[in-house]
Amino acid sequence: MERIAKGDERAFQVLVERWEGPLFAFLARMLGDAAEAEDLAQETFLRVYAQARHYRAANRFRSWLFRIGGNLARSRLRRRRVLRWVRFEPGLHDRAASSPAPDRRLEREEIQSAVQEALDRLPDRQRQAVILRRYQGLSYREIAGALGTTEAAVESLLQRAAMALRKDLAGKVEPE
Amino acid sequence: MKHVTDRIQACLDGELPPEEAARVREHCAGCPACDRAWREAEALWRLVDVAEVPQLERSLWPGLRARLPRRPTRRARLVFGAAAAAATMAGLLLGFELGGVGVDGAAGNGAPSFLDQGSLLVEGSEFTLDQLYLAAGATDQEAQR
Repeated sequence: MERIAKGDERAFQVLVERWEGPLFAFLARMLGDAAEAEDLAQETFLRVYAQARHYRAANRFRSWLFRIGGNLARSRLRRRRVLRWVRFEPGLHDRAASSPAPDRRLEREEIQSAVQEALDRLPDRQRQAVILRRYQGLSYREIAGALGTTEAAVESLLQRAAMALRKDLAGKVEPE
Repeated sequence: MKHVTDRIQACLDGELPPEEAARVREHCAGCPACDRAWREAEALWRLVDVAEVPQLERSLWPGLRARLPRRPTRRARLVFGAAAAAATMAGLLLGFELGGVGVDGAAGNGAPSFLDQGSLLVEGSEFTLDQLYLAAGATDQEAQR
């Protein structure tokens, strides 16, 4: 990061190539849109480059990166909701909620789509906590760093998310 | 014993200290309600985890590189610095010539050597360097130094 703060483009390229995959996957799940995720991933890296001199080595880089990306994603989601409200567009969620739940065994793709829709319905911070935990493998401490909160709050976010997901995916969750 | 449903999530995530994790597991083994909550949580995350990882189709680097703010090279900074210094010096000399500033009555008479002379003639009035220094906002003590 020191080299990047001094304008070393090669060091920045190495960092981008190391983290672009996980960051893109995180943003794609947050936003449910690959093109938008790509756009925000670029924006996140540009902010990392611009703020490199403020980075403190004591912080985990992963938390810092997902914090910047997460803030941008939440802001984009808020804007999307406002636009939808202004244009009186029905949300994707409304359509998903009104579709009949098939009672037959769901195919893999259907399960994935049901899970993504259930994730989309979670409040932003709960969704962010779930994605960082389940798909990025961050510890509670790292997630707390990314969300700017405490580890106890992360545990609570994940518990509430689990309750909501269980309710949403009822019929698909089969305990062994 | 009190139910442990509020610790099941952290236990599944491997976030509890070993002793507490053992207590939670032990409780669940003997409590049907907590055992059910445990198995439901496991099943939920198994379902969520099967979701495919979105893949980036091409690297972001080429696009990013084009958007990076250009920083001047060391050579460019040196050239710019030298040019700025030369322009400042030229401006000062030109100012002395056009502004009627001279040394001891020698207005417009070539480059000023007022530092040697100790006084300046500005538009017909003579000022000592101390007076000019004070006029520029310096204190008496500074002017004496």
